[in-house]
Amino acid sequence: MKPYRLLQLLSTLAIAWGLGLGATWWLLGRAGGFGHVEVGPWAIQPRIGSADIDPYARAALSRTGALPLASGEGVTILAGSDSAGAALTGRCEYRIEGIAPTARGWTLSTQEAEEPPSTDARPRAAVTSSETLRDQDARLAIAVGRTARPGNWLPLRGEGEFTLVLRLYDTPISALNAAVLAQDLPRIERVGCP
Amino acid sequence: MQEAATREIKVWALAVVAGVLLAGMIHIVSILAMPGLSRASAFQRVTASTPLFQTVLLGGARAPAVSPLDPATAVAVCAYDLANGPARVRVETRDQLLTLSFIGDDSRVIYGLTDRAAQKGVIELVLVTRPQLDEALALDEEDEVQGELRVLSPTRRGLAVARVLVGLPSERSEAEALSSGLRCSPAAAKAAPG
Repeated sequence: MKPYRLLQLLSTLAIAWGLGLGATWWLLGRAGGFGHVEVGPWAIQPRIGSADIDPYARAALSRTGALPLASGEGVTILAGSDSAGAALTGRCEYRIEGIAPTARGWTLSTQEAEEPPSTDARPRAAVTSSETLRDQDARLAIAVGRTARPGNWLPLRGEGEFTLVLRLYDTPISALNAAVLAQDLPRIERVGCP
Repeated sequence: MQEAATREIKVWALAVVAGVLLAGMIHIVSILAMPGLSRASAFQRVTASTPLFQTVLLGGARAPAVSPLDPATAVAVCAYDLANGPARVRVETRDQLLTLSFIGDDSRVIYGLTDRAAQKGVIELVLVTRPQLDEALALDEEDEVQGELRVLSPTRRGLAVARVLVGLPSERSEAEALSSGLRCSPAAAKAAPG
């Protein structure tokens, strides 16, 4: 018996546990998850609100305790970058432009990576379909940034990276058809980084 | 001498390959086992502080920490357990957009619907397990019209979730009252025929 056979066995086990659980930890920490559909900067997990949710998304839900929208309720659509592909950051100002999504109601909010600790109520945490002003062609433009803007404005609090969250309620839009979605989802333009 | 060294390298390579293969298995098992082992799912978080069949409005300072929620909605949940029979779920609807969904304690969405399904301003349905559904179907009179909507819950325990869109900030208290109107209760046992 060679003295280092035990060492070899221990190495095998260390690789197995380290790599196996490491991969689990790393994959569950990623926001998008597997099986998501990308349309421009927007990403959707089409099956998260149904019984055939993928095992990774389900494992992530069981840890975050989030309540996903059921397919019959609506869809959640996330964007972590602008239409040019650059990551969204609180240091810049953005403009979201397009036609209003086909839905009975929708909301646009942000999830900031580092919410500054503040007891002040946010001036406004979301922009909704009811309060949004539109132009004559029913097109809509929403400013996102730290500086107050006239018209539709979604305020940011921190300077870090953030995710835009568009939720469509009672919508005929199916995340399973990316072509339909592409026509409907607004563009995210970076206006500038003061 | 040379031969012995080559053999040692082969054994070490084998140890690494075995480690990687085992890592794959550990990874898959950990992902699949997580929903069952996690103590942080939405159901666990809600039932940690709220008894079964009691409605709680999410988002408040003392409410269960279920996140991230849409800041422009009022969300109320009610945990159910079908161990002792079916559960009846009821929520009234008004002008504001309301959706209702069910999620099992395994973090799998069961069903979702909107207030379009309301009859005379009320959504009412009965949650059943597979054996309870079979029993109810056997008891149903053949020519009797079944008024109640039955929803099959693959898991014995889960959450009913009522969301009401807060279109304008001034509508919040009304929306909270509406979603808090969610009721879930053990369904009264149907009298056996004869």
